[in-house]
Amino acid sequence: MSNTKTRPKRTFGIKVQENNSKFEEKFINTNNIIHNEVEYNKRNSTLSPNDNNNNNFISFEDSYQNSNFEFYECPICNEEILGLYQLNIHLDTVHTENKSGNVILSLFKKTQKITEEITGTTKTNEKPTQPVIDKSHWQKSTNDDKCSYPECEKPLGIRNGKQNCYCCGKLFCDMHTNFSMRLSESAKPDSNSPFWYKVCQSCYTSREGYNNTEGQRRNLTNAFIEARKNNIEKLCLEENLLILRLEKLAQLKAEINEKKGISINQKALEQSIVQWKEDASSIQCSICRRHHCRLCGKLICSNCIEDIPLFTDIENDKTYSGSTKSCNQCKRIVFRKKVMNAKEKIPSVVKLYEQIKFNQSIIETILPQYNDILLHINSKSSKNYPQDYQNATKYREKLIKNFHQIDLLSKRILKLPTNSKYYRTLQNNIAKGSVIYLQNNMITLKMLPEKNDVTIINEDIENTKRIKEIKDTLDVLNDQYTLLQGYYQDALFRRKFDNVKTLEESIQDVTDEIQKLKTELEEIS
Amino acid sequence: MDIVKISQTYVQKMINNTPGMKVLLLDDFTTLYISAIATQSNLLSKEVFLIDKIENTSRERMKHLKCICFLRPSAKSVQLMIDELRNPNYGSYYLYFSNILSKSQIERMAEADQQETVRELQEFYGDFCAVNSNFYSLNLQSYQIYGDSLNTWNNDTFKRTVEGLRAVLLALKKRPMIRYEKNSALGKRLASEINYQIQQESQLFDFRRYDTPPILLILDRKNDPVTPLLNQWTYQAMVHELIGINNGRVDLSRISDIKPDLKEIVLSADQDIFFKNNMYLNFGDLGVNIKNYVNEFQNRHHNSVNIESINDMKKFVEEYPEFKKLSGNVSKHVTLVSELSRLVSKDSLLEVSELEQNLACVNNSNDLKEVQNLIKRGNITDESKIKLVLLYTIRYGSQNRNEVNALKNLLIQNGISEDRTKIIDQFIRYVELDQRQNEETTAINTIFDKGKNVFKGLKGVENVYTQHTSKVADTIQSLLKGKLRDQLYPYIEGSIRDRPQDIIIFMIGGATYGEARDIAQLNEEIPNVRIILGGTSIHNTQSFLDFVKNAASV
Ligand SMILES: [Zn+2]
Ligand SMILES: [Zn+2]
Ligand SMILES: [Zn+2]
Ligand SMILES: [Zn+2]
Ligand SMILES: [Zn+2]
Repeated sequence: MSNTKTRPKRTFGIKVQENNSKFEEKFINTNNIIHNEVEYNKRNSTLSPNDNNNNNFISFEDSYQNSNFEFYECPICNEEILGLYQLNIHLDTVHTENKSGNVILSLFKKTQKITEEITGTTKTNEKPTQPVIDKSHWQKSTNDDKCSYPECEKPLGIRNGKQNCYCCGKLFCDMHTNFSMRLSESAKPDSNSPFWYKVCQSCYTSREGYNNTEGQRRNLTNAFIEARKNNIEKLCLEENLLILRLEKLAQLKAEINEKKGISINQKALEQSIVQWKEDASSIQCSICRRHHCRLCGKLICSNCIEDIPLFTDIENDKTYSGSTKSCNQCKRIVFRKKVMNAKEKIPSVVKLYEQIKFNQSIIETILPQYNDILLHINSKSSKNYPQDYQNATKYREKLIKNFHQIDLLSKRILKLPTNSKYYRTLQNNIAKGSVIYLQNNMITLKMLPEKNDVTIINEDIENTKRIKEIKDTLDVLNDQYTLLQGYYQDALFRRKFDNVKTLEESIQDVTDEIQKLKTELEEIS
Repeated sequence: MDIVKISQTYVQKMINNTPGMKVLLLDDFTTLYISAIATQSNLLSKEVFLIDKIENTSRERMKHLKCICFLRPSAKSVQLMIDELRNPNYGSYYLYFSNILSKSQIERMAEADQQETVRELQEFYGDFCAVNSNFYSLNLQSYQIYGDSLNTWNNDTFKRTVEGLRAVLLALKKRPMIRYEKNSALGKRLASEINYQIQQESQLFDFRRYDTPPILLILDRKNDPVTPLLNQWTYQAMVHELIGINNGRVDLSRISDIKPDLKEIVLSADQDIFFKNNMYLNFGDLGVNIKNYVNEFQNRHHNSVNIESINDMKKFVEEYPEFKKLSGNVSKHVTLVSELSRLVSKDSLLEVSELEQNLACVNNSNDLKEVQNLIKRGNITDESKIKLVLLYTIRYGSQNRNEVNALKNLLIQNGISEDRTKIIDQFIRYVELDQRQNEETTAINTIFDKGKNVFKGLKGVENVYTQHTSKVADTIQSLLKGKLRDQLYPYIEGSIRDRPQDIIIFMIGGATYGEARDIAQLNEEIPNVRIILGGTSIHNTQSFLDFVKNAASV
């Protein structure tokens, strides 16, 4: 695949030679990944051992990260070079014989000019009006300074440069002061200042808002609630009107029910409650039958009309007296409050999850205290070791109890019978979430050192709490038992024996758990 | 300016502030946004136990759940939200929209909320896919960009692009100076509309003062049609080129006897340290690192088995099920890199790539011959052959149209259907080859830069397979050196002489992972500037050629 074209004799990426030659041989015939990589590298490394360029290159790359990252044009050949250090090397290797005082001087001037141009440090601002900036806080230069940038610590001098940050005043190498900011006369960041100064990387990146990760947001909640309020005020008038009509219709229905057999002109009576609107433009067609909504009187297509229940007192379900036809919209409005205030049966999963949350809240108050003591004990900084140890043990037992409880509850949630795929997913995910919770929070439990004289916990307080817990759990379990029995009977009836079997197991689990808790309850009290 | 972190912060804000069992409702777009940046364990730990689509109308009533909605304010999603509020399935609603809502949209939702279930309504401008920390995409790959000519926008796509880019700026909290490419009518229109939008929404765009304003640089794919045609050799770019990355996921089901858990893998720098450290590395370094990764894994087992071949690796990884978790990641990358490697051998990609790079970088007297040779060869894919002809066309096509036609015939003789070779003329039309020939050769009109030494200092080395650098990287370097001429890259309003400190790039017609890598490298090497890249979509060669075909159809 190669031809006679000459390629730059340089390595690329990893240095496969020497110590990797074995590795190269082995993989070449396997026609696998490594083969290709070696192939890939080989094409890029037509490297001869006596190639001086290569040595230079390696030092190039090594120094790369520590050098400047601006481009400089070589003053002799005009090649663009990244960083002053590389420029030095370029001059050393490529233009060694030309190196004379003049060149260096011109290099200096040129570099200076370019640096200023690129970083915008002095540029256009080098006017006589440049104010005196506060330098009182500057670190004094000595013969033995190191760069103040964390983990840099390069010795400062001709090679790495030496520069005070105009902002914090500390001394840094060239690389770590290759940043410019607008500063006020008192050397504070000030975007309104017309003057740019060289600053260090720390000052540059710790500017207010520089590392911001919060995107713009707009909160429209108030506008929304305002709009909704206006709308609901209007809606209430209509709502009351419709409720009134509904209750009248219910009354009417109730009267009709009483006067069974006696013919009444129901239509006329209904129309006395609301005027039926005639729709002249519409000719009744045979496909879509249309009806009058008994609440608003409009003519509505059969898709949008449905039967609604009638109550002589809308708030009292016992006053049901029959049904009538209503359009969707009227139905939604007339039953709005009824739907909003409806008490729905709390599903078992919700009850059990609330218990998990309760256990979690206990853990979240104890765990930090436990970890604190643990830290004291393990770092031997404990002042009252026996007391601390006793407390730690106490906390630890409490924590374990709660962790265990969460584990049990989540397993129970997992086993809750349901016919809904949504509840199934919900239950599975709660169980998954609990496992993650336990994994994340149980780590420090093992770190308490062993001790023989286990202390006695203040059992009274413990016990009363525990009794309450057990009683709550028993309530839930009993609910569940009844529910399971229901499903079980149903499955038996429908001869779904697979389900019967799983249900039997679940019932057994619940019964066992109930028994266990009852025993514990007896023991404590 | 880490766009992944910003997107994640939006999600955290949505789910952290509402304790209790939650369902997260998303639409088609936000599902893509969220799945790229959130993990299941994170959502579970914040009590998000159900995730569903608002489009799903068979959802059940679960009154005891709180509902977090993250939706695009599209007409469709808002209507679905209105329907949901009319008959609420959940106990309470916390609504977050990924872009600016109109007043009437807010009013219609307020009117629908007769049950007063909405507790919160906010705009969180995460209306894009955060791909890498400095790479985003508007995910518009299925949209037609062009209207009735290559100089006009399709109206819907334009609206969508403006909204997306506006959201990017709001998320980044940048009110930029805008520059565009003079020869791009689409760029100019987008630049002036974004400028108008910023003024319209001046309250939203009221950010703290900058030392120097950020630059939004709007580029047009047509000015660098070369980069998306080249074989890629860095990990992430290579995976997209050879297999395809779809919203952070890679489909490996086509590999025979693949293990079920590896059929679809996730490549996320956020969750996978190995990927994070290697995503921008070239194939050579990658092979060594993956060997070290397996060794490290092996050392943890105090095992003395010597791993010397890919089969040893596979065996080793499979033999230790107790270390599944770590091995899961190891075997994921081993599998993926093996597959890349297999494709490289099977389709002679190293050879193809070398010629591609030559065509892309220098004039060579024997280019034609080499293209002809490879077209006649067996173990080279039709796609590669077409690509080579396209690259030849860009370099020599304006003078040597006859040779291009001859190459087209050669393709047909070698079994490629005439229909598929139409892409050559479509491509000529898309890149406006004929206009470029006639115009005075200015920097913007030459697709190939003559002096490629700009990058030499930065890379330090030349690599046969990566000689070519993307135009966007060159452009940014010119910009940083103050050499990007105002005449060719005009400002939509005003101008600025200071060196920019933050740069946001938007590529009309789609960016590539290779370009993202170039930008990541610039960010690494020039720490006093932050650059972020994005586009209407993310291309590999295949999607780019589909895009060209689509463009040429207007
Ligand atoms: Zn400083
Ligand atoms: Zn330093
Ligand atoms: Zn009809
Ligand atoms: Zn009605
Ligand atoms: Zn209807």
